[in-house]
Amino acid sequence: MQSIRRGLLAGTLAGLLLVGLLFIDEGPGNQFSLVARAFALGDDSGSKGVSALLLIGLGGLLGGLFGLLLRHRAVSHAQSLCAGLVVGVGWWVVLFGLLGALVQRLPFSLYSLLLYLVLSLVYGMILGSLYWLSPLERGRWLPGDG
Amino acid sequence: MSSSASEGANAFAASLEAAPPSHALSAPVTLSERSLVALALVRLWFGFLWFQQLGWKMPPTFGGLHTDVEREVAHTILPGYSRLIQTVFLTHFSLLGNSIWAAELLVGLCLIFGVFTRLGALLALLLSLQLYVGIAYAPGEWYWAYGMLLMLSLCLIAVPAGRRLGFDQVLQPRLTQAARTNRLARLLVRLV
Repeated sequence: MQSIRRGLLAGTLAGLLLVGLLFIDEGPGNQFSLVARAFALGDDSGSKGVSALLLIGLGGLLGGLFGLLLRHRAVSHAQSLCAGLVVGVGWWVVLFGLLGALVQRLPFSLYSLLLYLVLSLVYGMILGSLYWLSPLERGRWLPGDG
Repeated sequence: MSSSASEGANAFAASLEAAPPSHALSAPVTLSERSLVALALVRLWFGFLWFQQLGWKMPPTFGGLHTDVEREVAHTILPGYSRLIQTVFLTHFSLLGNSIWAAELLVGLCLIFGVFTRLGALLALLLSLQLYVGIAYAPGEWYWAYGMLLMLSLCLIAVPAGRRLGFDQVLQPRLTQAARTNRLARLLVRLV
């Protein structure tokens, strides 16, 4: 249960970071219109807000699944990062490849494809890193000078 | 010497005596996890800044890069630099465009993923320096923005920002171990 909770927390935080990065690009928040269209939502500002919330929620959900899959394994940091990257690639393929390009037939430019690939990998990296770094189990938040 | 000045001198001498020995002043500073994570976030956002700038100069045409380089010719603050841009860079624009695009992609990826972060920051410093010299004082530009790019790059060279939420955290111990016997690893460990 604790590993699912750790994954949920790590995934939600990684989703939040993704939203922060997407908010800045083509900002403020205009990149969310593409995400909203991938989710088959409209293109107005309300849909952008909903798609931001969906990204955070989906991030948490995937994080929970990540924790569920790794619950009986003692993973090293490198393994956790690699597993996170695999989740990131999966996120990109499903959300932008299947939903966006194939189902919704969105016109992705080369830059958009690169951008979403990098951001999906960032999600995976942060998920893997925070899952491993999680203070719930490891108690690694050591004090320092600053 | 007046009495107040003499008291001040005595106080200064006393403070020197009370100060820790000089080796303690140069003792290494340990950053807390919280500070390291904050630094990692700075690194991530700064890397994203570079990555985002790829969008308006995509190959094969490189978008607005040509206009930007022409502005550097007109507004550079370094004597002779405008001639260098005209005769070397603009005449081989395709090579320049590819090099800049690849360099900015490398900076973005290094900083976003925290992999060889110091290499990425060093490259960012060189690119920022070029931008400062070339375009910072052009009309409509806020030169402090370019100054901040320089300073942020310098900060990320100075501190190990890739050691949290990045791949340098995994690379660094392995490279340090390999550096005992391998010369390449000794060089690479300086770049994480």
